[in-house]
Amino acid sequence: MGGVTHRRAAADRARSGWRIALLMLGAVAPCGASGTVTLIVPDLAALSRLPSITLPPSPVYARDRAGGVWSVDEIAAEFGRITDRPPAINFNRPAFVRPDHRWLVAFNDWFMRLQKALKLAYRDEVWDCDDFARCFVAFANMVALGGGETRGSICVGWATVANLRAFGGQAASSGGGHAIVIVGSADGLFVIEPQSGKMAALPDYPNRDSFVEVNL
Amino acid sequence: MRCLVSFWLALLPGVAGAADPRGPAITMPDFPLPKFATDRYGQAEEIGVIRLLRELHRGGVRGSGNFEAADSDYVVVSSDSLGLLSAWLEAACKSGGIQLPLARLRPYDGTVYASLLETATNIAAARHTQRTLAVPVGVMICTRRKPWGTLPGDGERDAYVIIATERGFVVFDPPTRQSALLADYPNNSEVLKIRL
Repeated sequence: MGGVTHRRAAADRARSGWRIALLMLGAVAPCGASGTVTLIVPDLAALSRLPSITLPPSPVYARDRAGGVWSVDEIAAEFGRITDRPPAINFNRPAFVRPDHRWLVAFNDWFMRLQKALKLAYRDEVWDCDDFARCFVAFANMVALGGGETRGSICVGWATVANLRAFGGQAASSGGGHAIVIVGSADGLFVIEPQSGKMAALPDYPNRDSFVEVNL
Repeated sequence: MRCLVSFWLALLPGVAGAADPRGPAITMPDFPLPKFATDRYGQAEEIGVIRLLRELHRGGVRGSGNFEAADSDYVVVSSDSLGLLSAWLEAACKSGGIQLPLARLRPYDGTVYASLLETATNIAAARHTQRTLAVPVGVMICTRRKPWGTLPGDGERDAYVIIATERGFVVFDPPTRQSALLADYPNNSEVLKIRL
């Protein structure tokens, strides 16, 4: 299978000759620890065939102005305080860094420029609401971590919501879910419609009582 | 007078930048479009949510409440592309100022890198294909009860990239470059969430 081969430790020993040959070809590197492990060898040849792209200059992450760290329990409590139906929160880390609000506003503007630069337009399934939201989250964390945030990932995630009331250019809909961005900045919880850049504090978000879940 | 105008013109970008300082432009390899697995007719192999769920159960994941797919139809990724995806992720992170191989030395959130790869492959699909199918790259959050490679079995939560390939779901940890079929991943019964 080209770049990756799966094999168990016993099989590794039995086929050491093959392994050496494959290693010489740069196809696989074994890892002698626990469980079945295969190391993926980055395919630099394929990478070199990709053209380079340049993204618009992003706002410098304001680490010194970032807020403290917000635990998942604190985020859940904030949702509980503001909404009638607090959503389930899926998370990996127990706490998240609250970015500076001015940086968030600047990043949101940048994200609109990024969409234009990459010519990202809505396409059913391939590039739809959840893709816009996840793209925002991915790049926000990339800019923050690359900008020197060493305390961990920032409090930005995407949420699914029943879009019962229009917001940010998205018409109200009685059926089906919609994906938006949630950010816990130093100024509180905010909702962003990533397709238009419209931002609102959670208490002002018209669908605040119809969240389904939040993915941080 | 000309000098004075030049002086103020030179100051302008700095003044504008004070409110919204911008970093350097990020130059990175274009977003990677993985190869897709083909069916017996040579067409890109499609996979729906029901079959994805079945593959998860084959991979040892219990129940279905911990699985969430944002789209209904996907195209199966060829496992030949995993080397490209790994290389792209490392290069993109480096372009953005992140040393991915060292990422676990600090508070680590695997969802960040899974999201980046998921986004990158879907941007590539949206820009370079006319397909109407999503790319099944996502995130898997689980409890590390048992060690896996160099990662300890310490009961902590951890997150990995998960990719639906023709060989089944592949679990991938970007900083260590470790991978395994989901069926062989030692904590496959400890999955808390899988999101595609």
